[in-house]
Amino acid sequence: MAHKKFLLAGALALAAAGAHAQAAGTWFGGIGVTHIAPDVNSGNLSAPSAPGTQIDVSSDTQPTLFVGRMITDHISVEVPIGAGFRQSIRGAGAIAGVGEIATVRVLPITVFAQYRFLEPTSRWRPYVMLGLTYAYSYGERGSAALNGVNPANPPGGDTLLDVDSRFGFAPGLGVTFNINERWFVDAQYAKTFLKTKATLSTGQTIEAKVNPNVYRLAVGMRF
Amino acid sequence: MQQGRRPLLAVLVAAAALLAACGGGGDPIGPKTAISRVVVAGDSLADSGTFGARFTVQNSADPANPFPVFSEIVARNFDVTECPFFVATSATNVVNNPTAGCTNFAVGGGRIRLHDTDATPDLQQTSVPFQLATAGQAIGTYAATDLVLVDGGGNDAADLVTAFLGAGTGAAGLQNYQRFLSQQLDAATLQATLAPGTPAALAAAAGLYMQKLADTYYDAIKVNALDRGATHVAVLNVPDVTLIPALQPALAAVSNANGGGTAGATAAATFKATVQQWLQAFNTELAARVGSDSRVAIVPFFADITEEIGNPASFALTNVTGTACSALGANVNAGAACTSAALDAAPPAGLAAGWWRTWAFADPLHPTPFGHQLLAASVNRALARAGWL
Repeated sequence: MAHKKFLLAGALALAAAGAHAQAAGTWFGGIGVTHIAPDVNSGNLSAPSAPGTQIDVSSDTQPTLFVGRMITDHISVEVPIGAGFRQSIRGAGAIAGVGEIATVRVLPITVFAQYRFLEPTSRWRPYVMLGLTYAYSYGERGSAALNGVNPANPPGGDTLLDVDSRFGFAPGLGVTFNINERWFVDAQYAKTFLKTKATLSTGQTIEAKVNPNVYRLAVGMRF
Repeated sequence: MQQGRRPLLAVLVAAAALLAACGGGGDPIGPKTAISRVVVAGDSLADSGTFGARFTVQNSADPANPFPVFSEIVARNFDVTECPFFVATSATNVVNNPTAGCTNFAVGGGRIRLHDTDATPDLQQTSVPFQLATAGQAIGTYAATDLVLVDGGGNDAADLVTAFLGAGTGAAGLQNYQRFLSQQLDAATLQATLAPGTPAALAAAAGLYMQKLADTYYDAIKVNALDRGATHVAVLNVPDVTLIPALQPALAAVSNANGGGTAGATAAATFKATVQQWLQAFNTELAARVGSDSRVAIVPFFADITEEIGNPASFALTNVTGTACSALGANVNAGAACTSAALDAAPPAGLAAGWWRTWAFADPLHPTPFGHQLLAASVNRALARAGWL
């Protein structure tokens, strides 16, 4: 039954589509799954700390939406929309193995300029893109392990932390598979060059290149 | 199609707003293991007030809240407050604390050795095995929410160095050294080891002593904690006592006995390396006895204090050789003498009030409050790695 409905919807979409190729002036949007996998290059926590006290950042996967518009037949602008990612900051270097020392929520606000190859009517359209990302960090939470391993932690108290929100460039590439005039499937990869700094309430700071690899698989429609 | 686009955009924006509302910060993330009681055995480093004052600088600004020792800092991170099980009625008499529920059994002067052989026997409460046995009896069966924290061996190692150096001073010193060693080594082992009568033989016996001492330490922990159900036992290994101010006179004496200068420095360095071998004999044996037992986390005190003293700037230490309370002509054993206000009022030349806060040592044997924070961080790193914090 559901299968038949899907076919019917598809047929209707096709019938209604007509001129809705990936051409100038077309709007598009959709929903996908985004996996963000930081490739961390950590600096050292400033004194007081054991030499080489570093961090690693875990990956996260979240559903995301996106919306975009074809400016010309080849150039488009796309904006991913998501609720942000919850990332676990873990000890590395001199504090490797201590586990989660903090969590932070990161809302990357990105605008991609994309160049799409081939013709608007092509079934496959690979593209390259360059994005500007503002990684908005909020909701930082330290852990008991952070309090414990931080020699400057006030005894019995907590170490709070603040992660800077920063801009970064995000070059990437992707490919769109046009199922029909209206529906498409899209696979995308971007590398975000993002350096940030965390400041502890006890005064120490640590800088890290987070440089996440961002993978997205999505379905979308034109309208 | 213009009309069709707006509902979709509206849905996207609404969905994003809804998802974003799920974010936000909150309270700190708690420990991986809920610990509701911390049971401590050990020496002055872990003593939370058997004699009243902690063995560190006293807090003039808030005497009711003394600067905590490392065991208290570790406990507070689990929201546990410590109090001493033993309390002194005088310098030579210690009784059980009438206040129930106190589980810090550590006593200043704590040693692993079971007996002492000099004219004035130590308080039995200073025996770490006695503390562990008392704790075991008081607690009965340990719970999964108990953390047992044990330190020891530092005073034993310092005693050994003194006895060893005394052995070179004549027959009485040698006899005393043999008597000292007999606290841990059986007669046959002692006789066989010392038979060559050379300095190397005397040193080898010291290594065996420390190895056996580690067995005594571990056995006391096993019988009184592990065999009573403890599943979270953090054990400090023995620190490199050659780095602490208390051992520097001994090293200087070795240098002087060898004529000072380059020859003296070489002799002192050789002796230092020998003592470090004894300490490593202890730590190697302790690690071997613990093996892969996940109930026990060894805190690498030796490595960590070596790192701290070797990299003072990284730890924000400005002095790792001096003793802050010496500015007052005091040590911390006197309790009230070395206060933060007195130290602030008597800065060494060129330093300002608060100077002592970045020094490692309060007196020849004991850390400053910040030194205790560094030691607590070292313990906590081991706890976190064990998955308990």
